[in-house]
Amino acid sequence: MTALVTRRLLTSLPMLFLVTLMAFSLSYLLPGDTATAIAGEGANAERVEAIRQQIGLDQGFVSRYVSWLGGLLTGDLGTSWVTGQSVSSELLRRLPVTASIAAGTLLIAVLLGVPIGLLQGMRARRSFDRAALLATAVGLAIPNFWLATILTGTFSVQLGWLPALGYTPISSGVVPWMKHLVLPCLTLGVFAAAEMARQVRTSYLHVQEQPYIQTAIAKGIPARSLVGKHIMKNAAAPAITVLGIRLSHLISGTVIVEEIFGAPGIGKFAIESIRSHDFPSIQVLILFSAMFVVIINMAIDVVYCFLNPKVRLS
Amino acid sequence: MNTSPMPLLEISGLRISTRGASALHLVEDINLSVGRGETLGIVGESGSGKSISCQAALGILPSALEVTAGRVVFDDTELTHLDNRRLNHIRGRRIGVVFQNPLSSLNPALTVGHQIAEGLRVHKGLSRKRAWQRAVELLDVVRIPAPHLRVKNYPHEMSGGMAQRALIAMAIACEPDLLVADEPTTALDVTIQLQILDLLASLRDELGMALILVSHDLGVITRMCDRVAVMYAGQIVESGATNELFAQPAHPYTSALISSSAVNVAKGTSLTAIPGQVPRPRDFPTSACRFANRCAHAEPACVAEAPAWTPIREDRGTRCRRVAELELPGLREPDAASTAEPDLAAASSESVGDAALDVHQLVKHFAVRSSRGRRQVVHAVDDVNLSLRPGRILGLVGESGSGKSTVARLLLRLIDPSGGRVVVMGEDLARLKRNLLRKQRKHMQMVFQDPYGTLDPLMNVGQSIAEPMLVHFSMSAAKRRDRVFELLDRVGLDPSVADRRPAALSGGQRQRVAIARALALNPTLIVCDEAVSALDVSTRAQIINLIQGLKEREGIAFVFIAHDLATVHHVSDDIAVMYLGRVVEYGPADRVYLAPAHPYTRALLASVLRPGEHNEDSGHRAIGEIPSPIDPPSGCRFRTRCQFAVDICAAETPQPMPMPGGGWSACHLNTPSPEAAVILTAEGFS
Repeated sequence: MTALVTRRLLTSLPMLFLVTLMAFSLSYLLPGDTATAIAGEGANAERVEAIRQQIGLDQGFVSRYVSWLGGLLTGDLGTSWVTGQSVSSELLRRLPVTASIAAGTLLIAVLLGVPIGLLQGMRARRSFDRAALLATAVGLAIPNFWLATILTGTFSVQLGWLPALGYTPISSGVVPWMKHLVLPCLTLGVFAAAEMARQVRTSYLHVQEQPYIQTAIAKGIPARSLVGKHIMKNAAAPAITVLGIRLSHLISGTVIVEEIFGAPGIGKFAIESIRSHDFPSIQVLILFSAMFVVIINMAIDVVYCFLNPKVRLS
Repeated sequence: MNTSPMPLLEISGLRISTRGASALHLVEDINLSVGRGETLGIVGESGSGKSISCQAALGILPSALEVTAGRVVFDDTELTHLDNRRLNHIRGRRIGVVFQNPLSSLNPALTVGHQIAEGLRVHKGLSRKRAWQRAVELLDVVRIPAPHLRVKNYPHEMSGGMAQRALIAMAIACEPDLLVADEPTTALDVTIQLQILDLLASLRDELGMALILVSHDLGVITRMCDRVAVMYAGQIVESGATNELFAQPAHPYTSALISSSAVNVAKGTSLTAIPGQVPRPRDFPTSACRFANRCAHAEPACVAEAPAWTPIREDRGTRCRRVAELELPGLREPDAASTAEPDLAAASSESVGDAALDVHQLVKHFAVRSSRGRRQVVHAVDDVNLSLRPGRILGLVGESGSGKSTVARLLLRLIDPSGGRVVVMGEDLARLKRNLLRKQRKHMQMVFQDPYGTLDPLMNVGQSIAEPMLVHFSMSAAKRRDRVFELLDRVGLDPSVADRRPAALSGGQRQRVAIARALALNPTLIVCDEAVSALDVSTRAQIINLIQGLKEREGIAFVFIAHDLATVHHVSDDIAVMYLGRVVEYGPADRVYLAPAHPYTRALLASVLRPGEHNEDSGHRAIGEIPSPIDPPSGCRFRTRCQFAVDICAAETPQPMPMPGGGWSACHLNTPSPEAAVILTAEGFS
């Protein structure tokens, strides 16, 4: 297991290196003069030039890149041009928000998607299955910004049960924290749960047709361990893969949701940084997303490995 | 077909249908019974309904099917309407099942030990630890070496033969009264087949179980069964005591099955093929004999009404209305032609003429990595020499893992050799540049095993056959179309087939299309890699006759690869026997088949099961299973499985020794050294 993790980390190093290169080149590729943007409208040429020198834009690409990379390795992620604070502290401040939303979304996907998919599989082509198929099709088709509007309109504006905007940290109370999370998580979770249910149903039905399930039935073992052990363990692997892909897409999902619900998370941070040409933050955010995807994929591999002994060996 | 007053399992009037509004009846009017300690064989081709009849008896039918009539009574309990909870008291505890494909019949995510122990814990209430111990004992019972280690294996860590043993261990774990084995050896090599059949027979006798053995192979049925039921298109067409039924078949289908088997027909004659195909369930005739359209003895009355079951004797019956008047050929007395000493003087594979194929010191090594990342070499093919003249068939035979298919791919340079030469039409393929190789390719074609995977499902048959001509010839569309019709005609298919898609064709028809496609470029050499192995017995005979006809009429050279020595002998002029990457024996087909010199060839021959005769067991066996081609045994590669191995076998690689009657054998014991001669004579070698 450790060997697998080590190998995966080592093989992702070149990829991460490329990501740093691309992230860093961004400031050279995008239109608009950085120094002018930071200086703000109406600033005179002198002021723009001062800023240019202050943040090192007058130096060559290579030397800037090397010193940035060196900073990354020593834990210095740079300083935001907008707030003047270190990017790492900006990132850490916003991380809990996005992590909470992501965790909530996953929870909904698993707690809602898995049982629905399982029940569908067990009662395939019966009325529950048909209803769920329709419901999941709707869940997959709804655009999340529309869903967000409907949810806010219903639960915040009309019923007044839940706050429509903002975020409170868990430190100022679990209940308010959760209340703020419900709508963003539902917005993302409906799609994820629908996708999950479909995948679980499909792989359940696929595994059910396998000869080894026939063997297990012929052995006369009770239905509970048939489903729980023989079918689920084999059907879980594709479902886990889908879950992993969904998780790596979540980071882009949070951009929209955090914007809509005004939650100060990573997604909102990204949008703000892009608007204000805050390149140190943008670069770190790109790298962060890439690493997030690498780690998720590794986690899937580890789980996969646990579920599928064939992979475990090779 | 009641023999004992109280059969253990009795199926009567069973009908299985598809669920839904327009139900198709897949099997009808099935009556079977088996008593304690007795073995019943069910024989039939694919689609005959033999497997689902057994599944229905166990309540494990696929969800799309249901029992719509009849009863299944097991030891006084009627099973067809039992709920799952009650069935679970019988399944696994009193009836065990062994399925066809051992590797897919074991759960890939659970250890073998877990899967065996599971049944014991459920049915016998054993503790986790005790059940595990019992699983180890059971693996020992089915003769798996080092059972305490193997018990922790996952299925993919086992060979097919070993997985089948594990599956048998699972089936007998609770010492059932009845064991149902559904094609238990079809997916296995012939040498392993014999081991598994021996194992099943001894377990049956030790545990006093009744055994139902489902198979398409008459030889397997003969070896194992007291009584046999022959199924065709969803009905039992004949049943009776095995020996009697094969000696004097009462139904034309049984008779035709026997005479289409290659082991039973003199070499050089064409096999008696049953024309046409087994009908699909939606085409089952309702008011006619279902076999009439393929039957040589059919008369108008046969298609006027469905024949009733006609008892012949107490334990014998048939579903043929002409039973009283027909004298059907059964198993012949051992044929004079096939038992006579081979005409060794006449049979010589070394004749003059340009070779269509010349293979010289061919080597293929693959580099692989072990699980720990260590570099290893797979010795897939080592020092293989072959030659083949136009209009002849070279049979290549050996177990899976012997390197046959690698040789096939090397012959066409689908993969690059590590060394040696492959000369086709005077050109050494191994050295040809890509564009020249492409030109050369039209001289050599291949027909693969799986007729379902080798035709593009989106192209119709005509397009598939025309495609190679598009690449290699410039001809008008009309001319190409004419040529497609001509090719279809040559392989015995109707021109209308050109517009059909492969999905609409049966396995045998698809294999004909694959051959037509191979013929499109007028090749001098066609390599058939297990081209008939996936086909039903009756269809197999059609394809074999087709290949022989093409060889004789058109002078095409064939390399015919198969694992079944009897089929290879029937088809081929010469035979090369491969073992673990090397050719161990080579020579004229009759000499190799009738006077085999190499112990491996003899072991292969001993595993050919002939229908109708209880083979006098020659005692030749290949011990255990074929070793890994990574790090193969030193000296003679067969020595680790050879009954006669002596010291020199490990020390030196045996060189080809010319054999009387033509060809050679690479075995130290074939040398005229007095010591070796004594050993072989003691084992009955003359």
